[in-house]
Amino acid sequence: MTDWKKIAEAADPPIPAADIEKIAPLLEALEAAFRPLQRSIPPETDPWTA
Amino acid sequence: MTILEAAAALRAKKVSSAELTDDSLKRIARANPELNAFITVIEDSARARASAMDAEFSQGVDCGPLHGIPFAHKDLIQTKGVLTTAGSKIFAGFVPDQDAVVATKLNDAGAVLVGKTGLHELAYGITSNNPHYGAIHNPWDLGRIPGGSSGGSAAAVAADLVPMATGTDTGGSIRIPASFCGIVGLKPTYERVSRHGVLPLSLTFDHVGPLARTVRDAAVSFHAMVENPSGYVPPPNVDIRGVRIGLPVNFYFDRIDIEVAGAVRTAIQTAAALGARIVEVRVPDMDALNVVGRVLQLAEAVAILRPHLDRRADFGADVLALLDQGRLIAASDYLDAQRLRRIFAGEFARLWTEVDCLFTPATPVHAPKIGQTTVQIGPDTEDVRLAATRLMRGINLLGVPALVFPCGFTKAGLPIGLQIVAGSGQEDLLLRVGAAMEDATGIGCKIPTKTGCTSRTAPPSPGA
Repeated sequence: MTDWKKIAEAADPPIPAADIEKIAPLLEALEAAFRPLQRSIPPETDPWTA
Repeated sequence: MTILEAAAALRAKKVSSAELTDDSLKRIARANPELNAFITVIEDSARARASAMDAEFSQGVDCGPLHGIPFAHKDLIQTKGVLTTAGSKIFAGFVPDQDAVVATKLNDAGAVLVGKTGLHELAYGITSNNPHYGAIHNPWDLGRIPGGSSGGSAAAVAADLVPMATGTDTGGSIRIPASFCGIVGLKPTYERVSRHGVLPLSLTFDHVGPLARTVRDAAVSFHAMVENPSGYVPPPNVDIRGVRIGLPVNFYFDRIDIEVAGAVRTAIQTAAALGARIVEVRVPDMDALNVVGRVLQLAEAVAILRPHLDRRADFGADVLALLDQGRLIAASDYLDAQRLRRIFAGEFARLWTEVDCLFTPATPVHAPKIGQTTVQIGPDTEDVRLAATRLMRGINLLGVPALVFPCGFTKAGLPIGLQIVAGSGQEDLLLRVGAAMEDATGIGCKIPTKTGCTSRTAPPSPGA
């Protein structure tokens, strides 16, 4: 899993530490749901277009 | 008075646009201190515009059903010379020098703009509890949210301050407030109504559409917003015999408040009694599609608002938290989310060979209280934003049209919304089925109060 706190600490403009504490668990939960979907994508799949 | 009633009265010379507009402005003045539905009211220019529309009528000019009808724009639709804040401190002083395309279209249709309605900050949320302009209140219960992000538009229409207002919908922002406020909201097919000149929240799934008190009013409003409209307005006694209505057996009735589920199932029985064919269907994995949608939304919103991120103190806490998350989404994850979106769109498109439309609950719950952060659905506790968008966000990614209208009331007298979804370009089918349901149930067009939102009409029994 991604270390969201480390990535957030490197953001420019900076994200205050207290705000990083709030968003890191939200991103962890989203990543946990997203990665399995991501792994299921057939390689020939193009992005969506209108 | 509905748009169609007012349009008939105008042509019969029983009322003038100046009188309709004056009535609207008076109701706004009376109710807005409680509702906080409007950020800007343009009284003088509205009166001048109404007089001009009356003069056109007297000269034999008739621009159609919206000619002379007062209405409001959500305050992220650019209006030349009129403040357009997007409910934000970022755009607090922004006065556009040109109209959005949809504003031009409604001007050309002869509609009379009376003001700009409040919204969730930057349209990025569903409560309309705005840290800069104050909370917008639900006319059915002033202690509750109207939903969002088009909360001011919905509150204004529900309280009969205007018969129609514009909205935008990125993850349910027309349909959630329509559901919570007991009115009609139409999210058209993606790009059916031009987004040009509308301050964006996403780059690939913002939609523009009307909020109105009846399905037929939504129909004439929608037609005025688009290029090459069909002009279809459902006739009286509209026939839906043989229409194949999909009843989802998965996802849409999971984790739904019992009163909401009961009202929607009653509506499905009503449709069957009208001659529609009810077909049980399995829908693609909408929970997964919601995950995809959240990745896309986080990334796209920050792509738009990044230039303003050095002004952290000027954002509300909830919006700032979403923008901070969006800054950390990798480009490869964003692209993979768009690839997953294509896969789901293909799966969903196959549904339209089995059914003509889907009936679903609009929101899993009725309107939460202002400040409430979670909702309880049976044994489950769920974040308010995620619950309100759960049945809607996926529809934005698919780009297909959806119509929300009231199908009942809770025992506490709060509206319950029904959502109908159809394939791309099938707005007329949605309007046809919606009008038939509205006629059959008699639930549309209820107004919570006529005296400043301090009382409400007795609602019909749940599921009526």
